[in-house]
Amino acid sequence: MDEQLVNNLKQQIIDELNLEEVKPEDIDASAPLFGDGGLGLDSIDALELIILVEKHYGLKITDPKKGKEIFQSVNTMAEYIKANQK
Amino acid sequence: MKAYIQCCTSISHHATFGIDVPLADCLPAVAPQEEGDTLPAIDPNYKELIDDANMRRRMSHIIKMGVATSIHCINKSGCGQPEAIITATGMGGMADTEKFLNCIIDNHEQMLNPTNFIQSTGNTFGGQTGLLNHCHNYNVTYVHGGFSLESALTDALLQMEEEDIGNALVAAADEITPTEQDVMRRLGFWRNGNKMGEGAQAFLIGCKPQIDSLATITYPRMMRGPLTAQELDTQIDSLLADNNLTDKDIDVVLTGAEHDPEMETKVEDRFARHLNYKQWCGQYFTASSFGVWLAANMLKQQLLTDGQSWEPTKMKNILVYTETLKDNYTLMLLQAAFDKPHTCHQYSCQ
Amino acid sequence: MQTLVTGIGAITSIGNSVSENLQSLLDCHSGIAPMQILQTVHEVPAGEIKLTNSQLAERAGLPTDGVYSRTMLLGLIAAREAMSDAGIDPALMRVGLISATSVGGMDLSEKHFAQIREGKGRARYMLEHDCGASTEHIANRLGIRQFTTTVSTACSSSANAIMLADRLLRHHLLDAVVVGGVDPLCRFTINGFSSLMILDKERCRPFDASRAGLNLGEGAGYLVLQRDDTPAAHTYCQLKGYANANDAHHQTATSEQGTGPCLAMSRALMKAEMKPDDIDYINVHGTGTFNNDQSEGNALCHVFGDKVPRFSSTKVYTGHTLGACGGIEAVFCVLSLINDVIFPTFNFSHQMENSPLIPETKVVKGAHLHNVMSNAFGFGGNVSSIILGL
Repeated sequence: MDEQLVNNLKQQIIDELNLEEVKPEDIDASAPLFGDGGLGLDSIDALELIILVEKHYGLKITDPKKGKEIFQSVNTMAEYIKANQK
Repeated sequence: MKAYIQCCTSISHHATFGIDVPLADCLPAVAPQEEGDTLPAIDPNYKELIDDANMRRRMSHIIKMGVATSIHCINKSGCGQPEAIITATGMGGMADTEKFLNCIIDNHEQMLNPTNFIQSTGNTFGGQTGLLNHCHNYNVTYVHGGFSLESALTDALLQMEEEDIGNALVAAADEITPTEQDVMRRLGFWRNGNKMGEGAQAFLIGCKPQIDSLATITYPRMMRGPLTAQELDTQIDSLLADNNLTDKDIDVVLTGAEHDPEMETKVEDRFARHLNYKQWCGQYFTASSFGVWLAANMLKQQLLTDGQSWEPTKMKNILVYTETLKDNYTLMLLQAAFDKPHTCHQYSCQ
Repeated sequence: MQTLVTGIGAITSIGNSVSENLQSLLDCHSGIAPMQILQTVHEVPAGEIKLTNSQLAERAGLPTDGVYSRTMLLGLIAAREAMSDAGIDPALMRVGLISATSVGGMDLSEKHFAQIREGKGRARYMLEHDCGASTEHIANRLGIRQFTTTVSTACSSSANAIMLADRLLRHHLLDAVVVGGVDPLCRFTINGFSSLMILDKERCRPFDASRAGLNLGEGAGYLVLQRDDTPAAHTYCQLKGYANANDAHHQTATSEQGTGPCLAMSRALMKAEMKPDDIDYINVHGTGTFNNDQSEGNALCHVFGDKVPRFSSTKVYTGHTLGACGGIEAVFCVLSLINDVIFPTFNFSHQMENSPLIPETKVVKGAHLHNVMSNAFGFGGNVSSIILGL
């Protein structure tokens, strides 16, 4: 796993979603982003993450349902970005 | 129909947040002259008041102010869930609106954050209060300039009169944004020493008196300008007559004028004592909610400022007169909740 | 005491007047088409009224070179139609105006905001921005001096305005109320719903398994309501019941089981002193989004059991007109009642998963309508139902 990418993503998530008092090191890259146990994000955050991926990595996700797979964890986001970025 | 104000909370330019805050502790007897053209609100600790971090992180200032005053008021009133949540705002979520408009322009309609769009609608703080309070009851928002709060109160009173509800949360909020501030400056708004304000007030009102009720309130009067002095007099006459009062029964009139000094003088001259309430809260569409908050607290605490200090003063009836941008004029009558105020000593400034 | 509907007015993408709307409804003619007037990069169809602001101004009897918000123009045209249909004169009785809108003068602000934020351009256009501004203009031009206010609860706004109107009449604070709502298409809402990824690139398919989102629309719809002890030119029907509730589930999404919609519909029935089987037809909110139709469908089944009345979503004609939909669809419900006809969701093809519900797909004439319900749901969990009856 590209650690730099994972760390960047953590910081971008904190900034874009305005996660108060969360530091990058608090986020477990393999923990679920949505629902209980992780950051507890919801469907609006999923849309914000789609914007984040487009804004910072130039990747357009057109089907919000696909977002669910991509945004399971920071690691899955990183994998998606690595696999799709030219 | 008279409703009792059972509990109220306020976020304003002064340290008004809390329950039954002694007026002498939070409002200077006369507002000092301040630099700048705005009177920004003093924020309480929102983290303590809005405990859902996932909701809080998305909230703009107006929503935090509106939700914090509303939730605190509901909790302190002990009503559990109000039977209606009726909110008011003159401009709604302007900060979110401006952010979203900026994005539309700067990003050429691409890559827009949905959060700003969602939170920009006028009913956001009312809806989120319902959401945090798990309240499935009636939830409506009025967005009509200087009539917003007055419309919300009218709706609540009508439903109480119908006995559809026994209580309601009525709340108002508006925020200052840099663009709005600039627009008002360019329109020459600051010429008369006006300052732009912001804030939020929440009132839990009920149809039956409680031992700690602050005051009663009746149907507001709303008049669209241009207004003649005679029309204003007629409205005051009819409001007083409806409540079996005459001019001399009004202990003090709280005035909140903006652009119409003639009408303000008219109201001031008619009654024995007058006090400008916008000196503390500034000018904005729902500023009259600060006027109601102040009147209710003055009646409960039996305190009146003479410009030097807040002095114990017997008062039964306070009229709140407000005029805002776009010629919206309103009158609201607040009366002591009890013939003999039982709490007057505890708030005196000694 | 009864509250009577004595006048109706509407302008939408399927007609500039009530009679034009009725003809399109009967002809299954949809107004959803590529946008021509509104300039946006988004290639989505919408229920756009194909008249420019100056053409609308002409229809509204205003100077065509003036600068107006489209909100005010559309609202004025429909409110004036309703008022002249009822034949009421504000000089002779106490007439109020309760208007609803979700965007206010946004169409004007968004055109000028790029300049205004730089401290240039005409700052006074921002004075048209707030929701109350268009209402005040409409009231002034209709000669209405009594109670005037604006409701803004997103897409349920107009339905909530109708509730306040009824209460003002019942308590004799007014004799007649012009009530309804208006929203124009604007880039703000197109981009907003686009950012939520719920705009369908095809025509919307409410209550259909293949539904993929909503189409936005624009327009205005107003009723004149009067107490039955005031003189009326004619009576179309009565306002029989209504209720608003809060779903209290999520800021934008409605709960899957439809908690709020169930409450709104059942409380409206209680207010009308009716049983579920007294309702002959429901004009559903039916936006065509996955979430709305699933939630509303579940609520219908919950409230009406296995006897869900005939229903349809007319958004397939007009698109989702946001704050105006409760007003426009109330006008459509009045048209249904007085013509005894159901306007169908004519493009329906496949039932939703796990749902027995099928909307009316063809115009039903002689439908034996006595009481009809209209639903309108909005952001913030705001849900409303109103009941009109003969």
